[in-house]
Amino acid sequence: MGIKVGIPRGLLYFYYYPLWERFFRSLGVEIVLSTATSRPIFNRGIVLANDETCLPVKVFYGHVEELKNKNVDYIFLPRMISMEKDTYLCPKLLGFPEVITTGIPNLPPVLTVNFNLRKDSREMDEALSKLGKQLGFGNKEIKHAIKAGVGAQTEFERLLQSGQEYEIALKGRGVEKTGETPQLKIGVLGHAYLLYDGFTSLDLRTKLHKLGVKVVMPESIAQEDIDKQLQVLPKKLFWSHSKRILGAGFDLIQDDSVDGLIHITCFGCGPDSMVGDMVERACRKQGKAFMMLTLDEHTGEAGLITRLEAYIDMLKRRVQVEDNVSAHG
Amino acid sequence: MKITFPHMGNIWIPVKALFDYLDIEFINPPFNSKRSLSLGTQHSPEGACLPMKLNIGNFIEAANLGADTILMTGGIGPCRFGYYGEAERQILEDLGYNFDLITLEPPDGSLIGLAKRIKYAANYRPWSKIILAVNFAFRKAVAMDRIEDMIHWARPRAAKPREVEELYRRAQVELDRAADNKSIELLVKDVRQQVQALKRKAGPTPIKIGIVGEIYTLLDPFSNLDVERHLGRLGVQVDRSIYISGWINEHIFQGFYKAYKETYHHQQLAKPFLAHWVGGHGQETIGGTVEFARKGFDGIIQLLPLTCMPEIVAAAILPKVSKSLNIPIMTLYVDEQSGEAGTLTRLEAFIDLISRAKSLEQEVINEQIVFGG
Repeated sequence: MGIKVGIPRGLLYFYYYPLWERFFRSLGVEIVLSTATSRPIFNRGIVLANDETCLPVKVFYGHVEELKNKNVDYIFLPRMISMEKDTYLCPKLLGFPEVITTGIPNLPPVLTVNFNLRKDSREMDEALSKLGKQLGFGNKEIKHAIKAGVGAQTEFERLLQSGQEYEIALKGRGVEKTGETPQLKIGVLGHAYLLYDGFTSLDLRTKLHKLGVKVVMPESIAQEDIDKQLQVLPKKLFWSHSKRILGAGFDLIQDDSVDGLIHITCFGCGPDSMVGDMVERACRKQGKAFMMLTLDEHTGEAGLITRLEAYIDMLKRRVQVEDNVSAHG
Repeated sequence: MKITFPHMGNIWIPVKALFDYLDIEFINPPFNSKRSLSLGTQHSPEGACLPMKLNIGNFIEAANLGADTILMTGGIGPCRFGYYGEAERQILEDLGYNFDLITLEPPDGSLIGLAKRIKYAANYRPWSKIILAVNFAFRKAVAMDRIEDMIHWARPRAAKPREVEELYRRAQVELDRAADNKSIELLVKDVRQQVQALKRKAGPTPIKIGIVGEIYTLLDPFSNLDVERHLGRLGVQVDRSIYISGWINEHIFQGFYKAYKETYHHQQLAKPFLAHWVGGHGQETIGGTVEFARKGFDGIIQLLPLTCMPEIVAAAILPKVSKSLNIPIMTLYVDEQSGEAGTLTRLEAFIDLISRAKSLEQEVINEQIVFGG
């Protein structure tokens, strides 16, 4: 009997799944993914989670709960502290194994390991080999799996930055792209676990496609461009995913082919409250259109559609009839 | 150069002492008020936490008094506070206030860079003088903590609560005025004597509640709706997991001085419940709770600003601590919408619950005595 590891389809899944998938599969470990976010998962998460935490964390509880009854040997809840030099991930992710096990009693054993690449990127190998050893594998097998995992992750990031669509890069199906040929190009900024979670983001991307918009995501901006844009900051930002969002924002503001930006965030997101504000300020100075959408468990689809339509109508007017005057006046 | 520093409870006393000693003009912003909060809320990002909103309010009000330089502490994450200095500079710049911002932190880890910043903030006074000034300011911080804790003791015991508050207010003013080490010592002694001389009320021994949580809301009575005073009046002796001298010592002087009620061991105490630090004071909140529970406190109140990330982690884990150590815990979120009356109701309910549990326990003991159990 092989080992079965349950992976909740939420939060860091959207950033690091290729790494985990290839690593585990090379070791012959069977992966059980929770199903894509749905109404029951969403509602269950909201009931289980701490009231004041952010939406993606709440949804994550629902995914873990679903895996509880799927007969897995372990639930994989890594503690990803830092994945890049001099940065951290969100504090909520730093306390993740303890937070989840407190919120959901009687879980299968939790498989966890600390990823802390803050000082040294070689810590990645260290963390993965600890992970492999916990499952009882030998050095040789682990070494092979690390190579496969890291390779898959690098390839995933390369595909995204070369403009490949997220779902295809993750080896899935692309999102539906019916509707008119795009008339507008909009940069959509936000964390991957909101942008690419269809249910949680109320299918924002599909909605934009249907409204005739070509969408640019932060994941598709090249790393060099992000780094270059962030040099203007007097103090370095210390959250790795937010660095990408901010850098992408700055980059898209300067791109004349982009008609406007949408920042999609969730209520209670700490890093977004800083980053979103900085992007908005920069937009105002450059006369770029900007809209912030805050999601929480009470967000209604109709309200979201109204706001998107109004924003897009405004952008179309700016392009067609007005002299591209800033909406901020 | 007219320098200013944001409010956080009594921290203005040591900061003012520092600059007075160096003979640099220090603009103390008007104390936190509805006005500072409303100015801050208006100009800060909506999702920012309460401390940032109050910071912005303080800076705008200080600018109106002529301040042109801001001194801030920094951080390397992952708590948002580490980035507040820079974010606030951008906000103020867009509002037309051209502040010079000095963040007290090693820029990109460079200690020489930090030394340069200190020198700049101290207006190039000689190092010998700067060190003396820091020594003096730190003494005031420790004295302030000692006085605050005496007030914690006095509040539930005094027959006339007003006398305690007056004593506290006088002590703050006098500590601010104290010009040398000797008068600081004398003041602390004097406050102790006055506290002991207060007329006491009859009644049971006060119940004890430990307050843990995020540092700003913990130390700043305006932002926590004065919970310590309310609790004291309701007959509770409080203690908290963070005192200002301990924080300054740990984060700025790396443990060089001897602070009041140091809390280095809190991280260790938290380990069984939260194995890794989570930024801010998340792990210390858990550790502080464990310590208070072991010391026999009757309850815990966790204070945090809405959306505070490290404290949300702690809040999600505290139910486990509460269960395993058998201690009631209440979590109190504060933001610009918080109301004093609502908070007071919650405090009263929490205390009723604790007192009732205590009296039931007492009854069981009495029964055992009567029936020879």
